[in-house]
Amino acid sequence: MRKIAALAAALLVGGMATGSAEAEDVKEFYSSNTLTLITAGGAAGPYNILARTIEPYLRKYLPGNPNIIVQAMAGAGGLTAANYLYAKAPKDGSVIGITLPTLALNQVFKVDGVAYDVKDFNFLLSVQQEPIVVGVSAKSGFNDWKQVVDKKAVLGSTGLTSNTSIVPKLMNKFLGTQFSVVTGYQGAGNIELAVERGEVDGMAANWSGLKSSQPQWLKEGSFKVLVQSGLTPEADLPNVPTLVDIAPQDKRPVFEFYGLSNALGRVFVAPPGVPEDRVKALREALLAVTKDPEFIKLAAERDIDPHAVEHEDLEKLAANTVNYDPAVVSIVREAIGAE
Amino acid sequence: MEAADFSILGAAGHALLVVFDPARFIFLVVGVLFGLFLGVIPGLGGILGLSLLLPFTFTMDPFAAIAIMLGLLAATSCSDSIPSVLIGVPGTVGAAATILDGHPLAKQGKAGEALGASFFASMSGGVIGAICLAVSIPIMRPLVLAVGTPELLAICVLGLSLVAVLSSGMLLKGLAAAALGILISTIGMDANTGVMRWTFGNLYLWDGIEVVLVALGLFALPELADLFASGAKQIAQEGTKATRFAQIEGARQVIRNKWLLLRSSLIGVSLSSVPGIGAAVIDWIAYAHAKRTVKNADFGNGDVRGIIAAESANSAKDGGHMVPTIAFGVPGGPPMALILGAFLVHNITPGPEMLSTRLDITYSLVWTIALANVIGTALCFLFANQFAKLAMVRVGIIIPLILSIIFIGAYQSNQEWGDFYTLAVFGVIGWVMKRSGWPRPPLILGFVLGALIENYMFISFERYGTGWIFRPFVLIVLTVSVAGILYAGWSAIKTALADRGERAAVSFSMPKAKNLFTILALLVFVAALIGSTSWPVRSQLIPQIICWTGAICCALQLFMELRGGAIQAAGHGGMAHGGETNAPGFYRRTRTYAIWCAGLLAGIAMIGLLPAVFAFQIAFMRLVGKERWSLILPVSIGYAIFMYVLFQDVVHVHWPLSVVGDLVPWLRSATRIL
Repeated sequence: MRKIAALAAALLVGGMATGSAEAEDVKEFYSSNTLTLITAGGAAGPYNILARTIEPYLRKYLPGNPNIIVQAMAGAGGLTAANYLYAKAPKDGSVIGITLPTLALNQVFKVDGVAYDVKDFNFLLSVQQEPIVVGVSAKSGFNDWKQVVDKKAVLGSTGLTSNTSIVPKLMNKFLGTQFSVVTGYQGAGNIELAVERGEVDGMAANWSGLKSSQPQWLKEGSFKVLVQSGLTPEADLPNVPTLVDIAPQDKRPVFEFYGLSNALGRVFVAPPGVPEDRVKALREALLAVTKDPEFIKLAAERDIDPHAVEHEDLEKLAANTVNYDPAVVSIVREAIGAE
Repeated sequence: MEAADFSILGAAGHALLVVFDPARFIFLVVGVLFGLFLGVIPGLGGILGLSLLLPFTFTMDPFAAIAIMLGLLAATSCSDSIPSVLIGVPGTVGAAATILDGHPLAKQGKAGEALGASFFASMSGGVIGAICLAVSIPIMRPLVLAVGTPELLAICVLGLSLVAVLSSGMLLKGLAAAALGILISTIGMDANTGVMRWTFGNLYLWDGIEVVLVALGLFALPELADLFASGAKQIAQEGTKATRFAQIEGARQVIRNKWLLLRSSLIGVSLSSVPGIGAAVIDWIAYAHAKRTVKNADFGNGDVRGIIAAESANSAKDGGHMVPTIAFGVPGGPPMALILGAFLVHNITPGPEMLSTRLDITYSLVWTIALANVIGTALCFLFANQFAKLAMVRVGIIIPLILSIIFIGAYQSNQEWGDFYTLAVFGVIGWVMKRSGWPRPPLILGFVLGALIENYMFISFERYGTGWIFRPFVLIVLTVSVAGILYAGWSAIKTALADRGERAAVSFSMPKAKNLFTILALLVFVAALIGSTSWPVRSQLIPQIICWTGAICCALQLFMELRGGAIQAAGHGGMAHGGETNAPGFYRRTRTYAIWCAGLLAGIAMIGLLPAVFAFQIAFMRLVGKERWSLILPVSIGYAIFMYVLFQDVVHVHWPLSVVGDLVPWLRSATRIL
């Protein structure tokens, strides 16, 4: 009963106080409420593992040290979770979530089923920007992306709408490469297997995922990364060109847009309308987690890149993506849809 | 060479010591107990258990984590036959084929024999699976690398061709049901083109339909409906027991059929090492194999060999699933994605390491699977007699309890409202199929294998043109598959011709209720045929082929049915049996059952899942079962508390949002279950 009363009081305070609430309220709210952390993707997916890894530290740094429940919400390529967080989740700060890097891209592409406006989310923080790399096995004989302009290279892919297909298709269209994309593989693991077996020459892959699943490829040098999609080169890929680097001047916006749209990373958001002081507390706590030496060590073991992007930058990234030159957006969309 | 062998033996021995270390062995036992529990409960299974355990294993040492997770997984396939045999409701998707012969035995009062056979077959299958895994370690990577996409395609086609065997002499119906299954598998986003197939703007359908919902709908709901409608007081007659003696007799039957056991286990291991082929079809394929090879069989009416084939293959699959999982990090089956998650957390990288420097891990997997099967089976044997009492619980009590858990279990698939609708739709489909004598296993086979075949086929053509067909393995397997279908077709035609000779005049009749499903299926195929024409070629090719096949089969079937022919309608075997329609008031009681189910759904929408289940049980037990309050209240309150603790406090379910919760938000915040 006391709990209900406290909750009602907290709700009341949260509703009335606009930006002027005291830190004490935050502490009281989180000491009497459970924090639910929704993750897009399945129970064993990387987002869930990220949430589970962060959870004990978030509890430590968030005022009130709440109990944290991690709930996996798979479905519709992250849209189920994003829509839930946007519209249905309680707006008192008791529910936050980790959404996919495609949060803004889905909106600008007007994907069916998007029921949110990315600008309204309370961005908290993001980790693990996920650049896509295009690479081939050493035995395929390709050493440089330019060779693919003259000779066909076969890449495995999960499907047309995934990054495993989008990047090579954009390269074919705007850089004149001859990637032949074979779609239909179920998940990155099966493409990696096809690369190993020689069924395909290579793949476009999530760089952090590849480092985690095939460390021996990179150690032995049996996999050669040709290009990377991020706007700036990865620390461990200093000599691999970015797509923007190799694109002729007039094609750069296309690849800038693509790089931008993927740069949100695994992004923590709170629903729109959560009281400002609680959002602030969540941001500070998450940032503190990413700087905790113990967390950094654990993250390294679990292949999580703890480097954080803060909310101001995320807001800019999202806004830039959503407001990008519509002409470029439609060109990219078309290039992905059909060659 | 000798050095290598020595190191392998050394690693195996070391791993055994590690697994038997009391600090870890206790985790294995806990995993097994939890797995047995989840296996017995329809709708719950290994995947739920593993997602639950995964976060707890983060802080364990890797061997203990493997022991508890894999122990759980292996144990579910020991106990999932218990509800299959006793109630006719599959414990997990892998125990559906066990129903066909297990449940008739239970009804005849031979539950002990059925359970004994299923436990012993399950254990033997599990151990054989573990042995195969251990033996294959040195050759695992070359083995997996040698099997290309065209070979995988051929294996799936072979699996699908067994529809002919599972159709119980009703080939047209079987083919049409398989076509329907494939068509259903195309629901969702086609990743290859980005086209939404049959999603009707509904996000829930984007990711397609969960196989658990298909299996529960097709097999569990109709069985409970018929149990209710039959007017029986309880499932088995009074005095049914699973005595030690009867169980040992069942186990002896397994030993008598040791070659069938071995063959089925090997089928289980090898099929499960193909990514994507999992529990939902392996039991059926082994069952079909038994049907094709065993002489003087009486499958479907309580032939213990049907149980042996299904159970051994279902248990052997865990060993097979591990092969691509540890050798390449490709999940061999749905639960393996969670095992891979645990690997990631413990910094274990699947691949060459697992077969060289981390052999200790790999062997601990082998030992865990074997030991979990032995321990799980021993416990099942010990407690079978207690479980057997389930079959004698009054119908007015058992139906609401089982129905509730099916709904709660089904909701774990996606934790969305769509799960209830999907369950209900497949429940209706399953019931109508059962009533009108349609075999249901082909639908499951088509559903699971159809999706794989579509993907593998496009990859094969895109990568190899038409050349892949002439790869030796592919050629042999495809020939066997086609021959199997042609043979079945030829037998059906022969029967039809012989039958025509006996008939003097041909007369057509008007469509009746028994033709309902044929007509409905025909309409679905035609509608889907028209509906899919606007998609890109790649997205419409398989649906179009399937719709033509399905429509032609249905049209032929309807022609025969209306001509008054007994040819195809004369189904036999338990797969399509109609059952006790003769009981007075059968359809009236079926209607009552449907109303109760609809009432439960409405209740969930109004007051939330747990409160609705609670109210449903009380109402059903009181109004239908005419039970005493002194029994109703303890049972339903105990059940509710148990479900609350399990799903609210342990699983942290995201409950369906109810009308009451929408109207009274503070109540939702306070209870968190509305």
